[in-house]
Amino acid sequence: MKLKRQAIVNIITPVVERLGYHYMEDISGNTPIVFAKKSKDDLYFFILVGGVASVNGSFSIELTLSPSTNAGLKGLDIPSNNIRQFPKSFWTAEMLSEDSTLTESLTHKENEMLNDETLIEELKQSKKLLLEVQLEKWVISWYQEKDESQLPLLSFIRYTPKESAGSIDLKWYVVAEVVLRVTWMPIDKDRVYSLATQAYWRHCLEST
Amino acid sequence: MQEDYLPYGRILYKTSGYNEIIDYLWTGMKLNKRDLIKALRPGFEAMGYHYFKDSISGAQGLFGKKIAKDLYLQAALTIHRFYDDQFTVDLCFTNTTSIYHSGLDIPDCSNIRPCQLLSVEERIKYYHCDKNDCWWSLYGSEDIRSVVVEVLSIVEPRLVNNSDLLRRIRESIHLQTEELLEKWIIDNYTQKRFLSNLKYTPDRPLDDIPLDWFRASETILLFLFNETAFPKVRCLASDSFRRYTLDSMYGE
Repeated sequence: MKLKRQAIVNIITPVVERLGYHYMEDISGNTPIVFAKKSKDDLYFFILVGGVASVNGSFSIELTLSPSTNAGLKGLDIPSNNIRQFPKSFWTAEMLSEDSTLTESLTHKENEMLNDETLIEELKQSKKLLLEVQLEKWVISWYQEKDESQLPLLSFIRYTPKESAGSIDLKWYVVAEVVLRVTWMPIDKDRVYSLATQAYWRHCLEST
Repeated sequence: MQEDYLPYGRILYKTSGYNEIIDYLWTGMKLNKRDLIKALRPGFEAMGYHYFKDSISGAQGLFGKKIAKDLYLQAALTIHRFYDDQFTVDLCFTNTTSIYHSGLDIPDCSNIRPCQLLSVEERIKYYHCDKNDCWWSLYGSEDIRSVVVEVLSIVEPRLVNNSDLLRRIRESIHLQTEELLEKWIIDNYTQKRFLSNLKYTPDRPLDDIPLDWFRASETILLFLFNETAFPKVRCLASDSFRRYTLDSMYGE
């Protein structure tokens, strides 16, 4: 039976909350379900739950370690082994009812990645990740310090949604778009939405 | 402004408040980049600037010096688009070695011409012009090199000692991004970390800039954006090369 997104969130949340993960709201609804927590050395763990539209009610789980809250970011200098799959290709609600399977696997994978010095070093040296982190921090900084009237290039805003959905208020999108324009970054609607969400997530995780 | 026409159709200006004709000679000589640099280079070098061979930025002569850690003052010579015997100097004072920034969150006065930092009396003295946009002629009766040096010695402290300007430069995220790119390219250059199959690195050095700078520039741009273009590769290579050169000359 096909499971709805919210149903999967409801099933997984109690299981991963015990390990310190938080559900990360994303208004687009088309992306993987994401849980995140802050780890050591300014790194974040992300649990990405994918395949939620599958007909038989199964879904995939993967664990990502990154300094950026853009969990799915890929690039030439981003190590590909910062994403770890789980032994089972697909999970079901019944499997999660045996919750120790997932939590044990998660804990094991987390330790494996944190003890991988090469991986940690490559994540810290990646220029793409460094730039992404910096963009997220600038969005947070401008969100907190500036009124909208103080933001440059406001008249060029094109991709910010007309109204907010969920708990991510519109100002995150405005600031994200302005930051992308001021820094001459490639920009389109998806990029604005993504950066706004990333910055909001980083802000939430820093506050927990 | 009252205008009179010379036989060649060029305009001779009378500035407001002045009753005498300005000693403005148009000799019919079109100013070129080579003559401009030749005339002014000794003066700039005497003031501590380093000359950079440059065909990338669009300037008709480029000089730079380091003011402090991560602070650079560059002087770009510009020949007037319409009056081709006249020139000015575009000063660029930022935490990067790229030039011709405008708008965004960059303070306007970090890109400025010397006349804009002079009082009206000083403009009349050094430019024979009281407007906010004044130009020099290389072929006038004055020793223009001395005039330029004297003006720069007056305006430089006004620019680099402006604490409010410094704060706004440091706060600009556009400039911080440019600075990051330059530093990353320098790191890649010194470590010789280049991707293979680079498309936009030229076949031979440009402006005496070794090819590895272009390789480093294209590599960083590909890391960041998965794609790039020749103008961006060469601009960043040139900016990073100038930063590295000035850091090497003046120390960190």
